[in-house]
Amino acid sequence: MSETGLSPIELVLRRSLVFASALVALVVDLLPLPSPAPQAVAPLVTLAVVYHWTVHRPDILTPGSIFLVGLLRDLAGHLPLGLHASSFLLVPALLRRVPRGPLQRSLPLAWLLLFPIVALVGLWRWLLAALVWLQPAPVRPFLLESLLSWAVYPLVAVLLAPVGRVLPRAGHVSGS
Amino acid sequence: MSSGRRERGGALAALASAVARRSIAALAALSLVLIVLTKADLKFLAYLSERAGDAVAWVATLPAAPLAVVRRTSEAVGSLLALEEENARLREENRRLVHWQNEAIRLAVQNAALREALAMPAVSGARRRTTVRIVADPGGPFVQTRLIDAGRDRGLEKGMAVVDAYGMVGRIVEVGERSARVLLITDFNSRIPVLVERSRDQAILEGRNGPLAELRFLPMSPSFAVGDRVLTSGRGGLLPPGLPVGEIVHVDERRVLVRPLVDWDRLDYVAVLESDPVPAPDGSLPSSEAIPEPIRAAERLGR
Repeated sequence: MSETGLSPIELVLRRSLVFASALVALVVDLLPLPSPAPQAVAPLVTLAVVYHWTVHRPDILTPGSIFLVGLLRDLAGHLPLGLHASSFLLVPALLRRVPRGPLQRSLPLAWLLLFPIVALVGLWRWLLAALVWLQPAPVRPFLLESLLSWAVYPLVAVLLAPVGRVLPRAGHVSGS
Repeated sequence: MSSGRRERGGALAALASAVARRSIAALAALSLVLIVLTKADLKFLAYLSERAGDAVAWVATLPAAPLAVVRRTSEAVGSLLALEEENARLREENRRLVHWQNEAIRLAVQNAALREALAMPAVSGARRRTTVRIVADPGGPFVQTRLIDAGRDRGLEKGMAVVDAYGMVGRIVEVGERSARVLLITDFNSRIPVLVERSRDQAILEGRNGPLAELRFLPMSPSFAVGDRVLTSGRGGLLPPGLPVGEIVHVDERRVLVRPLVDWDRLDYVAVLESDPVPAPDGSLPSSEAIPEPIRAAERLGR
């Protein structure tokens, strides 16, 4: 038994909940859900989940896991591999020098900081789309997607809070 | 003792941070390399994508029941909010539909008589249809595609046209064992031969990854106008002719824009049309399946 009182298998299972939640978000992103925006532009829920765990448990959702989630998203969408992987990796890259403590304690603060992050990720995705298709992509779908991804974050954070409570304690939280 | 632990802890944290920093940079670089490589349309990646499509189609059908409840609830709330307006619109549509139904029957009879007079073979317009369900919307803002829950197991092939009750949705671009990917007519990479119903001007309809598509390669002096209906021309033989596609909504010196008839936000079940036409049973009148299309298209045009 570890110092947390959990068996190693239970520790692994609990830690895997983080990656599992990212996979669930990925499936939600793929579902043709009713959207408030026209032309089926929907929030990128996976981005909100990646942001949440990068703030709260970067020791579990490592860059390698984020890269894998991005690759799976690209494969599922029949997109050039790396489009989502590079977009999602921007989150830990942008949060690298940001102290996590205040963000972990305050949902409004975390939500506020997400705004410039989704804006930059949206800009990066738009640039990639232009490079991949060799013509300027329409800005509106990316803008709407970024805004919706930002708007959906409080719900994501509330839904993931119980998962966060059953995770084993962090050894080290980089940036905190 | 405790200061020693703190030092070790600090060193480990610094090491973890350095590893994370380097790994982010390395993985980001790997992502960019992959983007370039996968643009090359490698067969292995196409195979992986087909398998992923099958897996997604399987996973995405699991929450179909709760999803249908969400969809119905969302539509019910929307309907309640616009009940009065909806009623007036439906009455108006009903009036217009009756007119178009009469018109369609009259034209069908007239068409049959004219064909007989000219001794031309009857065109059924009816193709074998496979009704399928849209289970995933995987492209995001990058590509406008939908994943359907049928593939080679139900005889689907690349290039087949996909329609809903109102008109053309897109065509199949990738087929897996139990799933297929449909490229919507609004996608950047979609190009379909069309004609303007009234003027018979031929053109190519190109997607713009937005709600509207654009008519390209128009004749020198086109004579269409805003409000004209656009149909598939059938050129190239891949798509059947006469499928309603959209309505011209904007004409200026530089471009002609078309609004597709399909209601993208309510796209649930669609039909895949087989490539080879099926002869009409009696060879005289258009099949009963063919008549509703112009009527439904007219309904959309009337909105």
